Amino acid sequence: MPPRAYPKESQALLEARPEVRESVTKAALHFDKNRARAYGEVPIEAWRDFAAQTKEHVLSRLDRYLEEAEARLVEKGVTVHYAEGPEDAHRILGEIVRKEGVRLAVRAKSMLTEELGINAFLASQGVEVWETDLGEFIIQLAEEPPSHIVGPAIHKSLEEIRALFAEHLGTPEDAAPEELAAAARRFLRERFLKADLGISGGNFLVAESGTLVLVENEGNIRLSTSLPRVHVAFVGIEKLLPRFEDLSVFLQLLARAATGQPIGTFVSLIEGPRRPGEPDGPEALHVVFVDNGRTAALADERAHVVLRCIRCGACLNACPVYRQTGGHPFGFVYSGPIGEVLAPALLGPKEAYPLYHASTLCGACAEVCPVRIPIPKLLLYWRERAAREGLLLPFEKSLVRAYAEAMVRPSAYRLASKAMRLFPGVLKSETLPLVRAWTRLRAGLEPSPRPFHELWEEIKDEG
Amino acid sequence: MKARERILARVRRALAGRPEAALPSVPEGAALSKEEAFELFKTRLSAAGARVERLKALEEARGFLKEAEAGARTAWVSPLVPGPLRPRLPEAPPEEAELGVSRAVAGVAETGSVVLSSREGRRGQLLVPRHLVWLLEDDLYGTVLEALRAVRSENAAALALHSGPSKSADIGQIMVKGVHGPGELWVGVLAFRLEAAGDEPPELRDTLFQLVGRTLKTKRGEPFLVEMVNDRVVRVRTRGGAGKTLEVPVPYLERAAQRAREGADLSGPSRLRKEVGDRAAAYAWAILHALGYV
Amino acid sequence: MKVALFATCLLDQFFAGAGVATVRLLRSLGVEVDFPRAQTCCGQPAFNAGHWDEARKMARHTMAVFEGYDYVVLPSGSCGSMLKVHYPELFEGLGEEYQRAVDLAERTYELSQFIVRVLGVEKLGDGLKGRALAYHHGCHALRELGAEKEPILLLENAGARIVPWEADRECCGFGGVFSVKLPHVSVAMADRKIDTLPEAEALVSTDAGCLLHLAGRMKRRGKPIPIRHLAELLWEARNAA
Repeated sequence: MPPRAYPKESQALLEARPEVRESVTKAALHFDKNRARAYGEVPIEAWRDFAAQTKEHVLSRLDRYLEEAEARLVEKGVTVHYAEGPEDAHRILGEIVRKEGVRLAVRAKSMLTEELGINAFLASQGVEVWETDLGEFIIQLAEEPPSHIVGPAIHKSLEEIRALFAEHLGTPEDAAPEELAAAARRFLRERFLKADLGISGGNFLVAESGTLVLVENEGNIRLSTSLPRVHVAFVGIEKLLPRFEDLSVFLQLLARAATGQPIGTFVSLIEGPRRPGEPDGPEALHVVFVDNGRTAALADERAHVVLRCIRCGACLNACPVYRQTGGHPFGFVYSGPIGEVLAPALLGPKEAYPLYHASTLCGACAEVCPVRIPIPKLLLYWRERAAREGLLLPFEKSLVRAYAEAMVRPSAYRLASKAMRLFPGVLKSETLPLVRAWTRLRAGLEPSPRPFHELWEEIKDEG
Repeated sequence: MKARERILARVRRALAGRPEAALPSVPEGAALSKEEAFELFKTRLSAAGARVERLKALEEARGFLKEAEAGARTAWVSPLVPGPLRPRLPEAPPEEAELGVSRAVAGVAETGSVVLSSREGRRGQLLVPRHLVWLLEDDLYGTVLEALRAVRSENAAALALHSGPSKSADIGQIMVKGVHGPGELWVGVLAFRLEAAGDEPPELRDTLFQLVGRTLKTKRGEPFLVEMVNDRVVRVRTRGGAGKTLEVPVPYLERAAQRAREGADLSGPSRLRKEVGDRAAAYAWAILHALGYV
Repeated sequence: MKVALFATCLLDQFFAGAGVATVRLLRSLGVEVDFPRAQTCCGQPAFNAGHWDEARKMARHTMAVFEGYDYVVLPSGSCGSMLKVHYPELFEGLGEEYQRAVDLAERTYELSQFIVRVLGVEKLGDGLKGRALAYHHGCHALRELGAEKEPILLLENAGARIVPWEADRECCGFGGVFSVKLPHVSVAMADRKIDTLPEAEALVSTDAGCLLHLAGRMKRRGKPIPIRHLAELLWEARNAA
């Protein structure tokens, strides 16, 4: 389901499964409320400035930081790879799987590995792979993609999850959330202990120290990166931070923006495979730096700021458009406001059309973004480019042209105003497509009996 | 490495002519007193569902330990945990143990976090249902920034900040604890010096753990790192070129300490060799020196 | 002080009474108000949809119409922010036209902000005593113009009680062309507003678009409450003084 299907898919979801809207709204508002409280406890504006500027700095010298990070990682015994896109990522992972004889893999929630289709690839290699984040595990059982960056299963109600677990794990039909979680824990614990390979993303990667940083609440990422003998981390090239000390702000900002916590419950700072004398830990650590559209985004001087994104999901929670449907209708790994501007930057405006139109430009996203990405401005930028590059329906362009021609002629405007009152049925019509789009779900428009510009002639000389 | 070259070339092309954006300095947080730091630490960790106590004497620490032992039949214990603070339970591997006992290398007040090192092993920090972490009060920092600075020189493959029990709200937004990691986190903040805990002179093996992670110097000035301590050995790593690992047996150190108490002259590694034999004597002497025995 | 009223096309067509109220209110505050007859639409629908050439065309027309006035006042947050925030963006790098856009932006005010910030008036009268009103913060008024306090201040100081509404700062789903491009999402957003709306004698906002959309949806669902444009209530606040 491509981005192009958004209008149809969002409508279908709202009509057929209204309970999704309810679950998503409840969860997103809960996240947003916690974020607002958490922002209020710290010097948030100074932190947002710091984070935005630091990310902007890294992006402006990304080549240098990539080389520095690579050198530090290699010094620490990490094998570093580069992947331009999914094919490279699959090839690299395939070689590791063969060389290490991997049969069972555990995956720690990562949006980038969603981008790269890692699960399907591993399955094609005969590797059994399990999502270990509880939300990801739920949607793996349901065979669905994630619908939120931080809460992949927020569109699922307790009832749905009960049914899913009853079917797959044999839990009672009326199991409490604790029982369901315990069942998932038992099921996945066995896999953790047996897995040969742990796959993760990376929230940050510190260039000066070669530190891979992962943030979570469940402990599944720590388990995935500690128990299996091989750990492969896929890291977007935009995830670099210059200094170890930068983490002091980013770790707190990310958690506060995402869920309102002071910090993620578990933060891993990984600097290489198990060292001599350490009781456990992976024998091999691979870091795969992934482009997958990021260099193209970087080359766009206006749009490159999306690469500041730290995947907190705050803009999704704040977004009233997102809250009506959750992420699925967007047809892209990233949904909501950030998805609407990441999609054109990573895929190009044609492929991403019309996601950047799925916004009222209300600005709630920019208000909460921890790295100050001006999302509404970027939406306007992509809309302008789409119009300029002829990506819209020809019908729309001619309509807008005619409208503009009329609006620069006051006489034409007034004529239209009169016509509207002479033929009031037009605004209630069910046949004109634009009017029908309004009247199908709303009462028809009723103009004032006389427009203000006529009333003005009567009141202009009032005292 | 074709992909590497192509990606780097594209990055350079994208940035050609673009000015370097300024890198801001890292904001320093407010400095906290010891008391404030503990209060904030406790508030944050408690809010996250952890149990936190400030322990003013060994007896209190043992009491806290006893509570944590309740209901558990077996325990995993980190090699960094000194004798008096080790549970009186049969030891078991992490995947079977019902209690895990760690020693943090640092704590952070503003986030309510303990920093754990992979030197003690990671499984024990993750697989046990109840996790007890000892933290020296001197290792508690007000801000993440201070703590990061303090642990920067840790020689470990992985550090982890734990800031509460494992949790998830992925099932219908209802908070559930103990999803994958420990469902209970207990933190005992040790506000006393272990060797001053009783009238009896402290056992050498109870004080050794304080040296873990510290860099010492031999009498000839060669720096080395105390990497790990357990009941049997002190493992040190030399700093030069490749860096080699040596183990100093704890009983050997105890014999030397005993001789020192008896008044033997142990003024240097060569005297030490004469008195009790040579088991990495240069390093053993530096360890005894750091603890004030020689 | 020579003030031009930019009634905006939506208000002109659908809330003509609010236009009359605006003129009377400003005059009662001693302001000389003119209504330049050549005004039409500010161009926001075209701008938001990405058709910037057409938007520029309409913006040029609007800039010419409002040349020479000390202030341009709009009973609208959305069109206000089009002039104040987006015209300068639209003409960025276009030299003299950019300067004209900036000049217009500096003279442009949303009605309640004009009253409080320019005229320095915080109390219009007592005409709203005992009235319980729900206030919808239009997004552009709120986030682009920062008109958060002014409307509330003027309503409350006239004796109105603004009822607490958990969704008062959430977008209603109108979004101009959005309302017809993605009608189902658009009305789902309206439904969230309507479902959380507390008891009030009227729903008030400074934006005609939001009000039309919310009213249309409420009527379709068969649970309408009266909708009122802010300008009308501010005039009522004044009138009884």
